[in-house]
Amino acid sequence: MSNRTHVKAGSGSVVFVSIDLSADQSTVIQRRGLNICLAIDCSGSMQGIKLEQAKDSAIILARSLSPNDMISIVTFEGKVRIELSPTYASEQSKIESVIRSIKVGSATKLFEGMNKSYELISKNSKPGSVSRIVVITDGIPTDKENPRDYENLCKSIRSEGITVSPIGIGQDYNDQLLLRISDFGGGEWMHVTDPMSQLPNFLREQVTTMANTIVVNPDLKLSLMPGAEIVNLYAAEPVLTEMALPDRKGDQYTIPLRDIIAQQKQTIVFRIRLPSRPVGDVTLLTANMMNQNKTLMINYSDNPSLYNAEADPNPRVLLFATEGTVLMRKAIGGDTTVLQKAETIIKTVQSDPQVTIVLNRSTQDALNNLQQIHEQTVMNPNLSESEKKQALHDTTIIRRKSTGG
Amino acid sequence: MECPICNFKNNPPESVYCIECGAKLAESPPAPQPTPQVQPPVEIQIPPPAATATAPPPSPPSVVTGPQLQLPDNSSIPIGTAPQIVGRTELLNYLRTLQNVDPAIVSRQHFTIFQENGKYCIIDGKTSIQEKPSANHTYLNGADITDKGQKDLKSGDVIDVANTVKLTFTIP
Repeated sequence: MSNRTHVKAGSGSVVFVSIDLSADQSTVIQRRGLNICLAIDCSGSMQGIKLEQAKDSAIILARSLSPNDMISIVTFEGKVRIELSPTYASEQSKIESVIRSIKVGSATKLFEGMNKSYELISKNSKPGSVSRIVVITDGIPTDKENPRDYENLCKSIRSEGITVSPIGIGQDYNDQLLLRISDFGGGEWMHVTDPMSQLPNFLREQVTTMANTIVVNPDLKLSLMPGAEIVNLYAAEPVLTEMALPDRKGDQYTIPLRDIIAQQKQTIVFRIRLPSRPVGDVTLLTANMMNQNKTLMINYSDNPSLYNAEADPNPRVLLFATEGTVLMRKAIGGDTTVLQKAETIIKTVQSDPQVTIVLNRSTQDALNNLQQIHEQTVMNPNLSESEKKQALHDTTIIRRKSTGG
Repeated sequence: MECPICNFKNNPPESVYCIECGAKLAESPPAPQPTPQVQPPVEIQIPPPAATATAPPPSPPSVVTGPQLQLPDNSSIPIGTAPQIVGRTELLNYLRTLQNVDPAIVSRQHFTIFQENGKYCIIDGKTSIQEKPSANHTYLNGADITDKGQKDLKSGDVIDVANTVKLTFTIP
């Protein structure tokens, strides 16, 4: 929906549009074969409970797969090793004995480890299967450190329909890097403070999500009215992130989305600049995905009581809340120049009396989440590294802090 | 009029929305006539994908809330549709909370749960996925089932693992 149904004739305007995507409730999941590659950091710092718990969790994951699913394991430290080539999950004994034999080494060749996992999973992906690389690490990479290298690698991985979910353990890993990996890899960054209780659940969740995948690597096609353009766009759900400006051919944009998972809604919010036009109705946009079309109209009017009215503030507030959250994310990462803008957004939205009455649940959650992260971080200048990681993590899922969810 | 958010200065006077970033600059009219209708939400629902030659045969949808084994501390182990081993690894977090109990009392592969003809079964013995019977035995509702073949499981059954951990099998 768009926040306004009327804009001023003879003038340019900016409107906000949110689009929800979900699987039809009647869709029966045809469980696809799963192909999962675990890339496990075996640097010295993983020694002890972290590696032992990673191994135990890997076994739990392997046991929760169906016999025809495939699993492979790559370890990375100073060397990168293929511990287990893609193997059917029915070979439990072999898989478990390989996992138990994993030992620690030195260094953290994260990039090479991910690259090797990519090669392995890419060569063995069967058409129609759901493939994912799950990276478990606790440290800073010792091979490549430039986030761009990881972005490019993840783009290649994603282009083949494979997703990447990075799991960071403890407080010494590079959280901003793992966040980028998940953003570009279409997965979800998970922050682990207690490996014993969290790791097994996180890994099991990977299998559940993969098994509930309905569409791999979908695209949303958006045709805008002539002269209109997308200024920026954000994913609000299920993972909050700023999306790259999509490819454009004429007035049509192609927007790569996350995989469509059963019972999981994706919400994308757009800021769209409209050209000046004379009085009259016009098609603002047509959204198309898998042959499902939705059209949104807008009216150019010269009546101030119409073009000044806001039919629904939700798309506008949701976009500003996600934008503010992304700014807070940068602020937590050390870029304090953006903090003032985030604070202005919070104040401006809070002071709008109409907003508090008509916000829907998703928008209210996004706004509450932004306010809580702001209070926790800015009001508390002595945050530990672990608390910073937690705050950063809270910027990725708007319902993480809300009750109910 | 300057926008407080993007600092764009050239908004015409009386503007309600910033023409640069779309932020609201002033109160919108209270009761526009005619009242603009709220647009229906743009929701795209994806229909079931067409079956392809490479698609695996349909199997029941995976659901998050399915059968499970309930531990005494109210944690649980979800049971899927595929045969599943339960052993020390799955119970380790709980075993570590027990005083004077060596987790090794539970075998790494203690018993297997699987589905047959729509019913759940338990077996503590050699199976296609379990190498050998457990060392310290499995009891189903008090009866030792170790190396005695498969037994049917119904909701509410209690599985005693090595006389140490009592699990309750539940189907919601």
